[in-house]
Amino acid sequence: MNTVDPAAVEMVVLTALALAAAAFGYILLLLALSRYEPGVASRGALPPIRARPKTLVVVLECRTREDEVGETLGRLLSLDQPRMSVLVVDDRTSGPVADVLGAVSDPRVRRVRRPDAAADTGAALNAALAHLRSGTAAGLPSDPEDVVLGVLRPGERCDADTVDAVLAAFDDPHVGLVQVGMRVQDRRQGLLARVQDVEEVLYTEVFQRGRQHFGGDSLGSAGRFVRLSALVSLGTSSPWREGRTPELDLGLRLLVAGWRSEFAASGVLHGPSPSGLGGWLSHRGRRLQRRMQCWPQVPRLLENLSGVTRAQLLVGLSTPVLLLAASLLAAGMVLWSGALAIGLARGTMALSWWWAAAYAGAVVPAFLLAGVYQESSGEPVGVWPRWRTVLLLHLYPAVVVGWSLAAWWALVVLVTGREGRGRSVRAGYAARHRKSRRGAWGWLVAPVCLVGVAAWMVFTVAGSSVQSAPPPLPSVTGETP
Amino acid sequence: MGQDASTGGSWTTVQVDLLNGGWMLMGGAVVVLLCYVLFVGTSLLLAGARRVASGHAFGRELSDERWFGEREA
Repeated sequence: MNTVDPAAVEMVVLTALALAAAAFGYILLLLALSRYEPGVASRGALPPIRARPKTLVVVLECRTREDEVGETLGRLLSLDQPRMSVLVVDDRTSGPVADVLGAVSDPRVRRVRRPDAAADTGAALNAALAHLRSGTAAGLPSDPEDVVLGVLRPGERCDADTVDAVLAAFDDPHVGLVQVGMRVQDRRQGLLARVQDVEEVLYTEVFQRGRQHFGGDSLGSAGRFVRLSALVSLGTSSPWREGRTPELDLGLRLLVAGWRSEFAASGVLHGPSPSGLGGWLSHRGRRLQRRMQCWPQVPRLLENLSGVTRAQLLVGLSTPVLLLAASLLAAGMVLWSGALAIGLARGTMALSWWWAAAYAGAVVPAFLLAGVYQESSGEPVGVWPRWRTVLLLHLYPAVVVGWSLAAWWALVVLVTGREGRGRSVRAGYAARHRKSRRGAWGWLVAPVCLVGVAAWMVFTVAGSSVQSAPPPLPSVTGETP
Repeated sequence: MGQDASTGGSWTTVQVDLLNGGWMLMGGAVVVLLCYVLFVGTSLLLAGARRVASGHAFGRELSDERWFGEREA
């Protein structure tokens, strides 16, 4: 059996502690900053001048969840927003969408045909854009700077305050796209849905809000509101590329083209949660896959952007690499758990202060974050008390493991071009996918090399087989120094 | 600080192997993370240096045209 060099273990412990302390400090810093509104200087924006009223066109793309089109449309039309209209993209003459549209006589609702039945989201959105630019859409301002496109899917909803917040953010003429927070609509219907809601709320309320203080642009999960003139400025009739969720790709190209993104802190989109653990993993995997598909854009991003924006986007896009590294941590934890289980069963396990310290390090932020969730979620205390959130945040290591699995799944899909059970990705998507894969190879080499170097270093050091004293953590014999 | 179970029974051997395996994976993760920090930091520094060399040291310039537009002309 190999014995690990004590010097190597010490180095690992110290480095891991330093990284954990840095992550802990970063979270606390963002948590503190997120409690205050950023000043104008840190947002990098000047006060709006001569802002003209904007018009919002909600593009409702009906490829999935057709049964929920009626409810989404009804909610949109019930909003007291005279400067809002709805453009439904659909290609069927019969079915749920046709039934709903047949029953709606509201002049604010228009319908545009999808190019063909197999067209994906990007093609459908491009068809909606072509309709708007053709001049056949009556009632829109003549200046594309005053028109905002919002992409919604059946099952999602937004309220009047969100529309106001989004349109107000576009008063700054430099802003090309606006992000809002996400909430899980059916969060009261199960533990998994609640976990996702906690994730979404904390991401918005702590990370997005906190990062506003650093200035610069970042891309959240829901950059769905775009200015029409920004789309036109890209110089193509098809700004949305083929793919299942092309918003991230578009957002990056707009930033590279010189537009700014803005985070409307008071806006929120409510969406359905993926069903089941498999659905959750697959949903997270697709999110990471989107980021991987954007890796070919990194050189342009580094070349054309600067400062905090460049750093935030680079770190954001390389999140999958961090999660792949985290999967090594998770696997190590699993092995340790096995060792502890054996120790427990044999009665040789001794408690260590390291455990208490690690637990305290995990619970303190959990308690603080639970308070943020309680304040921000709008949940009545009786319905969802704070202690439940604290307990729920104890599941966070499991969530990180889930994200790591999703990262491996996304990597496999990116490399092989196939999803689970031998299912190939759709034809239209596959073409774009192949192109992304070719461009992403350069970036894939980096994490693979990193893992190779790490393995070589660790096994070289571990192979020295130095006989040594038992370690102080975690202890199994109770004879630790 | 590594585990040595040369004097223990078979369960002790398994236990120590699991612990040592855990340390190896942790070590691998730490090295990957350090390389990641180095890689991202170097990329940003090089990109910044290139921008300085090309005369774009001050970031994204404000465009007066976009603020006031041709309508104002």
